[in-house]
Amino acid sequence: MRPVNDVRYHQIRMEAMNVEAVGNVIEVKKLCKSFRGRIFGKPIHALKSVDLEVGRGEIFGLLGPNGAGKTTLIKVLLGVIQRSEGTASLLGLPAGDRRSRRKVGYLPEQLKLPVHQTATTALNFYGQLSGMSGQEMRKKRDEILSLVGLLGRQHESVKRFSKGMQQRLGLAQAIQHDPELLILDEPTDGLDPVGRSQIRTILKTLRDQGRTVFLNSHILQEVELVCDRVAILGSGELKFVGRIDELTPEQHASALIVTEGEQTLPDETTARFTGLQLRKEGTTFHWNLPIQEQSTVDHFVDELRKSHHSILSIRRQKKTLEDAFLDLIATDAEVL
Amino acid sequence: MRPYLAIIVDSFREALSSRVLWILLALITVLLLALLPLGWQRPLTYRLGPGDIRRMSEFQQTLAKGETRVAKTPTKHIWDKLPEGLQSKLKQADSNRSLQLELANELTSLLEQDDFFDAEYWKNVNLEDEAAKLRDQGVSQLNEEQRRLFHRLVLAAAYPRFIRQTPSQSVLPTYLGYDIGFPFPLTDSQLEEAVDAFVAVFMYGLVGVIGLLVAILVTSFIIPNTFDSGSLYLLLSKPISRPFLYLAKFIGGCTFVFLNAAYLILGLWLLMGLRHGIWNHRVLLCIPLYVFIFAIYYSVSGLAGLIWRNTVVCIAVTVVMWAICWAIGTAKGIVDLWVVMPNQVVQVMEDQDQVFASTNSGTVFRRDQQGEWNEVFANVDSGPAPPFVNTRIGTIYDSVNRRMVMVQNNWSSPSLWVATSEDDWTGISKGNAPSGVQGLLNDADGRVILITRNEISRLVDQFEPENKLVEALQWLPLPNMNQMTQAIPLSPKPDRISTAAFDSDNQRILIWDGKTLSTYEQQDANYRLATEKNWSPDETDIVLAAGHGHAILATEQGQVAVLQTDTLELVTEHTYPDDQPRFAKASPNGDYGAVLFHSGRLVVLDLKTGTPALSSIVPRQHNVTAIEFNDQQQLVMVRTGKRIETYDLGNKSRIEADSLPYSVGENVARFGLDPVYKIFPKPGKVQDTISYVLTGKKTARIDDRGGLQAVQIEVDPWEPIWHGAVFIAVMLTVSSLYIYRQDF
Repeated sequence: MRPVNDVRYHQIRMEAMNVEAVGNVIEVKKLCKSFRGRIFGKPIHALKSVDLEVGRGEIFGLLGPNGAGKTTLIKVLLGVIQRSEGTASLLGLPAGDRRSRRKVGYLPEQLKLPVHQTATTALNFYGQLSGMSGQEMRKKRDEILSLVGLLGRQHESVKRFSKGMQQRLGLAQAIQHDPELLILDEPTDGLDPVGRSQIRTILKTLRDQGRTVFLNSHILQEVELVCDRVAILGSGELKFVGRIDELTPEQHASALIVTEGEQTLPDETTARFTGLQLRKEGTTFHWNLPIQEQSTVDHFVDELRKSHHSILSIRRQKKTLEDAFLDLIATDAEVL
Repeated sequence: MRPYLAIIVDSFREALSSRVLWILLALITVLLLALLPLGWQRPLTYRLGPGDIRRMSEFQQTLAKGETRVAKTPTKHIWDKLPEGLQSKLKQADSNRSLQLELANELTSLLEQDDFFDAEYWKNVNLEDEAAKLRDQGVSQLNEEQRRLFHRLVLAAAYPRFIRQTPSQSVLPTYLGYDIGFPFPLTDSQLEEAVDAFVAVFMYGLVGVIGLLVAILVTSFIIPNTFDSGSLYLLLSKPISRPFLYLAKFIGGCTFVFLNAAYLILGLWLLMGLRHGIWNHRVLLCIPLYVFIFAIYYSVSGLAGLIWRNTVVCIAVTVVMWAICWAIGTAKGIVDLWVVMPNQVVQVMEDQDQVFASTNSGTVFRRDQQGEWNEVFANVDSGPAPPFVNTRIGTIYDSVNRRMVMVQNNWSSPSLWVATSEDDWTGISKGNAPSGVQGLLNDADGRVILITRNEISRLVDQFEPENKLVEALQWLPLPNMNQMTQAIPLSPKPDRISTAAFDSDNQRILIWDGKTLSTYEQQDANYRLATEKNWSPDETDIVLAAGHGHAILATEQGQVAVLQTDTLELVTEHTYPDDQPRFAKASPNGDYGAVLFHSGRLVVLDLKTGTPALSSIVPRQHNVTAIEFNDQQQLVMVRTGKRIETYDLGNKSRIEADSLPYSVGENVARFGLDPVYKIFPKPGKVQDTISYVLTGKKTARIDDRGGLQAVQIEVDPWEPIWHGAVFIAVMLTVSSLYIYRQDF
């Protein structure tokens, strides 16, 4: 596994995209956040010395089980809560600084838009709060609504919006003022597969425009599909930062061979194949063989044939993100 | 600014969407429409109510004489017209409320009869102007309404002791043109006052209490909803200041209430103007006033909303806060009335090495040479009187005879008490004081003068030996059996004496009769009228003091004048329009004069020039409760009802200061209740503010003695506003700090 805070990949990518990669969009150093416990209770350490850097123009995923400190980290970055120790900066400014917040679009988890709004008035309201002028808002409104799939429903009350529609409107308000950094907390929550796909497309478009996306999600597949790099938090500690393929390297691949035969292989034969595992179901044998080299598989198949095993299937399998994620946080004994 | 305006507008959109604004506007419209048909008529007064008949038993006896009377008198005429049943009831001695009501109704129906007045029966009755004018028009020429009024006037003229004089016009409330209730007699000015009073009660009761509660209820959700976690993080992520976010929401709530209040109060103002022709522009001041009062409580609701983010908690905390404010205000009112004010020194007297101080409740304290304060007349029970239903008419020190004199109201007649050092300053009864004593003062020598309605008399230096029988019978309303006073012969004798002052220059006496100031000068044994000056066309109360050749006078309208006592020529005049004077004092040598107002304001003038003589010497002149000039021409004053300070006005220096001891109750009030009262807003006092805004009146008499020297509660109508403003500022600061520092 690669060490954390490796931004080389990102720099290469930025160079390839010809985007000026000046400094990091998010920089967190030894960040700690503790909450006071109840009276006589122990303080709760939500973040424990977290170090993190997110470069310009990447889609960065933040993963972690419930209570890992993901939302706390986002709140610190936005200045919603104060950090206890360490430093955190956004766009070169201290976290929470009003100037940095002007350049950030944020979609919170479990967004509850005021029910007295329509899509248009909500966009106006949040646009004004972001410092947009009326003219700017009018100019961009249709484009934004079209992008999130709400064009034609802009005059409907938010009260009548489904959760997915509210989520789309939330995304619209987050991107309408052209933020340099987009912080999305569970953006696909409540969306159907089509909606999720649309969101992914939007995120990729934004990345291609050189904007940075900081994505917090429970859905590992989403993260796998869209993120350039991920960080995994567990119990307030940073467990991993890097590319997804670093979490699931090739050397962790194995071959699953299903055979049918009279009897198993002799012990002296199986002993030659390191890490070989066997599960028997009736007359069917399920062999799991770690792949060191391709020749190992070939030798093993030869041995099977020698022992008159009929090969039903051979499948090459790689370690999934979920496996890697569970492996990383297994020590915390927490459930995703 | 744009983001914060957006927040304010959003508050409105929220209110509009929740239909609260529409419901309120609809309710206000219904209320205004309901008030629209309310009006009144101005019929001429003729009806008699039971309250219009006074001394019922005497009146029924008088009427009953009509049975046997032969001569043609109103009594004979009326008796003959009364039904037999009522006649027999009237002949029985028992008078009760139902009989009074029956008689009033019967007399009313008699007044409605065309033949009620018969000139022959009324030939010996003097008719007053209005009745005489109607009679001269010819009774047969009068329309029905005029005739009934005429009948009422002649009835009142025939029985001035029994039938109350009432204004000739009444007010009959109507609704949709239908009469509601009974007509009650009111003059035009009384009607205007009544409307103002009604509006004040309406504004306080409906708008200030019910409206405030409704406003608190309907706006309580604004801040908790804003700080709901679902929408809060998004708001806080925006580039706006947290305190300003909160303040914008607060202003949004206030603006919402402002719109509703403006609609209601403007509606009322237009209603009163268009419907009744009463354009009281002061009503409009109630709009910002109401919003301000709302803001006091909304600041509490807002802070509760920030902390707990729950609408129900917001309402509960605000209502509890309101209740606490009410409780503190009520406790303060009670303690002031029963503990603090009765013990405030309002009269201070010096004689050589001793000082006397008399309180609002009439208790007298004496400071001896050791500086100890002891009660004078401690043995004299002043009776179980509630505060300010004062049984003591007055206390005064007689510096010639070195005795303290007190006149106390007993059940039947006033009694005279004297305390001297020989009796260790215990009160010795000297029998009954002349009946009708209304005040005590010192003459130019320092002797005690008693003022009755039309006489001033000097207390004798030496009382006759005590008559045990007289002492035993002093509770009887008998005339003075001991000669204790000597009437001062005034020529011509004034009809009425309201107040008086003695000038040492040429032993002159100044007498005020309510409208005219007169000077009497001593000639031989008599005092003869020397100069007269008409001062006021209307009956006016004044306070008056005279020094050596000069007098200082202050009227209830706040006019302060310095006069020369020989010619009554005006030296100077100042006006303090919103203040009523309580005491006037002049230095014995006539150099200085002082007027103390009910508000605590002290005005000291150089009587020779009429110029102010105090401002640079005495700091904080607003809390003075008593003043006096001693023999050394020094000004003795009492601050906050307890602290006695002596100033030499010539040297412009303070000579000495001392303080009367505070009781336990007073200390509890000073160190416990008063600080708490200062911190909390004052909802109970808002009524005074509204009343002042609508009527311009800011003092209320709570003493039964009447006159300018009666204890008045001086209301500072803006006190709840200042305190409220400070409270709002504190609450908003705390809320802003909270939202600024809080982790959400």
